[in-house]
Amino acid sequence: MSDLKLQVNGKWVELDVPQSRYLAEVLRYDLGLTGTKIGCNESECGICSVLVNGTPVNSCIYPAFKAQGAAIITIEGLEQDGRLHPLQQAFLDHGAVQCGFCTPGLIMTAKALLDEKAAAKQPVTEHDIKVALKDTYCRCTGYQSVINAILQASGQDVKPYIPKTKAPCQTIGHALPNPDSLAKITGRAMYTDDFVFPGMLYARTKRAGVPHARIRHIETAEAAALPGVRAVLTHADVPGRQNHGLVTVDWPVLCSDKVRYAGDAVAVVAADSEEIAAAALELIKVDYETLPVVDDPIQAGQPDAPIVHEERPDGNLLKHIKVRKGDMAAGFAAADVVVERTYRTPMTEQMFLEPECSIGVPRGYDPTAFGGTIDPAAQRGVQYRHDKTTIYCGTQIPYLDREQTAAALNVPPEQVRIVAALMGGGFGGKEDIAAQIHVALLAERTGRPVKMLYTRAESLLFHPKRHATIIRIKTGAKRDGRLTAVEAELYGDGGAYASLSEKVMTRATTHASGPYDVPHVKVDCYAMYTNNTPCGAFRGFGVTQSCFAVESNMDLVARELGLDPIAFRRINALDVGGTTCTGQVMRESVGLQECIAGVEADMRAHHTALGEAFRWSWSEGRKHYAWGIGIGYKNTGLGGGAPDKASAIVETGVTDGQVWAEVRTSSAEMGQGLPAVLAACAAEELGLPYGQVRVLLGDTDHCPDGGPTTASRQTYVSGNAARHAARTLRARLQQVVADHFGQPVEQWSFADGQFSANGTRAGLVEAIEWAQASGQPTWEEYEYWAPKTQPLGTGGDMHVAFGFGAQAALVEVDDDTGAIKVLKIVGAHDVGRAINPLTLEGQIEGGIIMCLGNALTEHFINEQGQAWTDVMARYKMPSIKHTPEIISRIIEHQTADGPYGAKGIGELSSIPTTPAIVNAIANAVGVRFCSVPVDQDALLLAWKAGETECLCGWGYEH
Amino acid sequence: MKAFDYAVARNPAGLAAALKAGYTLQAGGIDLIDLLKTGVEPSDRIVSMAALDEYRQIEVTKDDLRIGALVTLQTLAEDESVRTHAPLVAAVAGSTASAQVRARATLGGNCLQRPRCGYFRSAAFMCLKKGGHQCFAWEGENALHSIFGGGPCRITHPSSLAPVLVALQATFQADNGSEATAYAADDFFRNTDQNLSQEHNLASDQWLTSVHIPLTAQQAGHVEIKPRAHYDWPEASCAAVRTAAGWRIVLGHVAPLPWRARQAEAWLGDRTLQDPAEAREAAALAVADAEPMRDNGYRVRLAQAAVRRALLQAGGHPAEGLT
Repeated sequence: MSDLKLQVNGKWVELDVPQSRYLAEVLRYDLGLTGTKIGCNESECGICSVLVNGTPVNSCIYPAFKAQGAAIITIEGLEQDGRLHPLQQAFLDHGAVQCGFCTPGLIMTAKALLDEKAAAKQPVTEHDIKVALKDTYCRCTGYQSVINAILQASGQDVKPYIPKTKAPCQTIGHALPNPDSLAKITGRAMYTDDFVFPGMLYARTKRAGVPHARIRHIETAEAAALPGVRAVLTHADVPGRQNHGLVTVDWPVLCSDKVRYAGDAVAVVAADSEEIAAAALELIKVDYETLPVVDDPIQAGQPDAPIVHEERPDGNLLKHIKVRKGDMAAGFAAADVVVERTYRTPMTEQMFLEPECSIGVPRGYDPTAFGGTIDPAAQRGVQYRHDKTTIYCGTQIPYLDREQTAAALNVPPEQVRIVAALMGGGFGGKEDIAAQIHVALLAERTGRPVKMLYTRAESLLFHPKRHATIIRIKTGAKRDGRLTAVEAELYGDGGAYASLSEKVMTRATTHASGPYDVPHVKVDCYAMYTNNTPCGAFRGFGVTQSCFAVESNMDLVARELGLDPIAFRRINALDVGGTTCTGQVMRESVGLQECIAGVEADMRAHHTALGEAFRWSWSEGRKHYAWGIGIGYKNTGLGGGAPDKASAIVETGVTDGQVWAEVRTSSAEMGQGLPAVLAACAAEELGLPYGQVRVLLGDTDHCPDGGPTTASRQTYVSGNAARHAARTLRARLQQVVADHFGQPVEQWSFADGQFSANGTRAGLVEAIEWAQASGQPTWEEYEYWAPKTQPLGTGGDMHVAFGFGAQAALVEVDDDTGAIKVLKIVGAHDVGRAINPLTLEGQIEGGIIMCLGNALTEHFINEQGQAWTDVMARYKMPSIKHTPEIISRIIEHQTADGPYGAKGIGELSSIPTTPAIVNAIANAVGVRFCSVPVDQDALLLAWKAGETECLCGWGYEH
Repeated sequence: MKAFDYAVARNPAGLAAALKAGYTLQAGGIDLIDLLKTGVEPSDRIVSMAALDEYRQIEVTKDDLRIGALVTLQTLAEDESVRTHAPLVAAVAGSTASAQVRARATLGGNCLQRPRCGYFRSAAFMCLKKGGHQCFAWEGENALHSIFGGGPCRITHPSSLAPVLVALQATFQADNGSEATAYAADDFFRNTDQNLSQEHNLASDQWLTSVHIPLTAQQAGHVEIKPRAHYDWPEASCAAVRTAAGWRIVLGHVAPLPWRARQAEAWLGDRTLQDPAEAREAAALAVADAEPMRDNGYRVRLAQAAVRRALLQAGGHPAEGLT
């Protein structure tokens, strides 16, 4: 330990810390300045950026003693006299803060740029911003809002980019910042790792390291004897159910007889420090008998393949999913043109910037026993006496975490409490259990709070990815452009455990004929077990993959028929009256034709603005340019016959003469803007200003079950629950007012926050006070049930609604290097109704950039079951430099049961992007890629060799 | 998090003593910390030379430009004398990595950073370079590996500055506290068949003090190709410099060390590249003896494009190369 002296945000501090402490750790853990986040711990993501003597540095790799005597500025130091820094205000105005985890890093890096430019008396340009922020990642926004916010903060007149939508109601339809954004831009927002409980221990997980092996023996005595180690647990210490799982309960809490992938958990350790816990892992000896590895979904189906789960009846087959519609022989017989190709997509990684973190707090935990204090008003957190086993974590499904943890602990679910902290991104990757059960077990064993923060390497190794798929697709069409038949066969690599494979691959299957009215469809999908990292939910949920295959084939068919790709799609696009491949007849809310028309108009407008005629492709010197188009759709809600409900509580009260409302539901916010939707719904129904509505999410003791945050469903189901709860509460208050005046309730109406009848008026304040005085509740819980759906194979409505979208990409390809740049994306999305255009546009731009990565750069590489992608630097995702110009149109074909007509957008925006880009590349250079990410190196070679199709990438023999 | 002792050398003698005692040297601390965190660098004792301001000087003599080893990339990009006398160095430094990294990364550290090979950087693979028995690149993920220089290990040299310095015939000045040594440009970096464990010729008790760049360049060009226009490590680069003695054409990121295209140099002789066609011919010769593996054949094309574009730039026809 040595003396470290720093000036932090203007104040001198002296600390006695180990020499190996990094600046980020000193700020976060020694000084409690948790606004500075650690995302990768290897100076890759840039979100830990702080200013050291005015220079931005990655504080995660900056030894604290290197900053001896220096002046440090962190996000907490930006506010002056309670006033936001112009950058903070601009990020708020432009919706440039979503999950908020990267926001401090973006703002600090931008501050350095603004300071530098101001000192040099130079204006800030978009190019400057792209250069300065190129290594500071954001995974939620599409960076367009970030660029605009920084330009505004530099003093330029830049307005938030908000597409035109229907005329707003009082609150619905207005662009409003998410209620939690203020905490996020000031560094006050609390994510799981920001909590430090008195007496807390630190935990680590012993992972298998081998992809497939039988466990002969686990030896933990030496680790348990290490000074500072408080507990070492193995499978023998799990008192209840040995496995967890969202659909199929097949994933061991701690492995007992065998390990099925390299990330399997074999033992967990809690110790006084993370260093000791890590050292203890090295002392745990596991004797393995290694087994042959199966790492490919097709190989997994062969008779001689190693079996991942011996107890299952169908070998490695997890699920065979079928779609049958019409008569295939007749369909292809009627076709003038048939195109058949096989497409491949690799595993990809959500790369949320906040690695998984869980804190378990034992039943009966009293912070005062460890030198802490109690705040009598606290309902959770470090100053709260915990009466039950409580887990703090970022999670997409709090109630299922509770159920699975309780099962492992062998206690009723009510004896476990999940408290959702803010989540630094999820994208589907935080649906499965991570360390929730482990920390609960360790906390109960040691009687202390236990924190388990995954390293980035561990996060990459452990959590479920997007499925690698192999998709053979055969499309038939008549000369006039009508599709006659689609036949498809899909293989999905489910990895070692079921996770959500069955559901994800079902979505891939049912969307495998695209958003088209095709009379004859046959799809077979095989979800397979392998020894790879499990695959599960990732934005798009299987449709990302099948849309790429469908839309690539559509362009090939259009070429064979000599039809314009847009005209060909419009001939076949689903519309009201059309039937999906599962037999669902569309009765309403199908804005696809309008989406396609909108995109076509914007493509043409691009050329009109340049004073030229529209053209699909052209060349200038060594650069080749082209447009490509992709269209897609995505179900809103669980569908398929699954009960789909969400509950919400809306409570009102009066404080200091002002009405407030609070919406409570367990549904998760991971950057998508749910609190803004819930607050808007309650504000609209209660006639309250938006700012007077608070939102509490994810605390299972205080929030009713909103169900999983998946399937683009939360605006629809939880939005409806909040809307109906507020409406019901308002009706009760109306009754209270009517009773107060002794008049029939029917004579009363409500508008602009006031009840009125026959010239008599009463405000919400009075109504609430009269209700309280008469002992009536001023809160309402509403359980919203989405319309019933039908299971796959039974026809009828498989889903309550679909979002539709069309996108076109303009790309540039360099003749010399094969380098591809996406210059522009124009997109139109039918979202039913824009509840909050600001957060909606954030979802659209973010989805587009994420799948620009899917098309061009992203690939999670496994070799023989070992993750080669084990650091963030080895996973290439789009940065601000990749951000094209994005033109966005919102189409609003309202759906009857959606809140104000709204349906989901979370996944939709990412789905058409991949085929739009790949089709554009084919149009630019004449080489069609049947796999993603498009390997620019292989593209160059194929192109120069005169090939027209390129079969390479994941799953191909080299 | 791995614990380590962190010492700060106050003078060269202190630094020499620390190195003799087995401390690992840190300059800007970009690469070393990364290696430490991933467990590839086993050291638990680090000595920082950041306080030795004598290594932060930039000086112009009548013969050369002398740049201290601790000068940061940011300074290299902005310093007037570097921009005037070694514009290639300034340009490369300014385009490397991010603002956060350029503010800390040093000239010495950039030249001495360890390779980016995924097998070398992953603790899960005990590769040849780390003392194992096998270079996994030959059969594995080898898109990012070398096309020149043979084996046994197929790393590419990660430095963006090194090829430029070699092309400029810089000398690398080293010290060990008692004796200064100057390494000529062509004697400083070494191939993997000469030494597997390190990529340069410094002895374990030596450190880099400065780099001297002779002011003899008459024509110069440099091109880096980063196909995805963003990711830090270029896939190929070329520095081409003509002095009175002829051309030096040095490829970066395609071999275990800055790679001289000697066939192309010889063919060019003392031509001044009045004719753009000469650049094409030389570029073809530069990659004639490339030995790509399964996945990195594209690098041959990229290297060829880099040479052609660098020569066109040096010859005063930059537009020819860029369109």
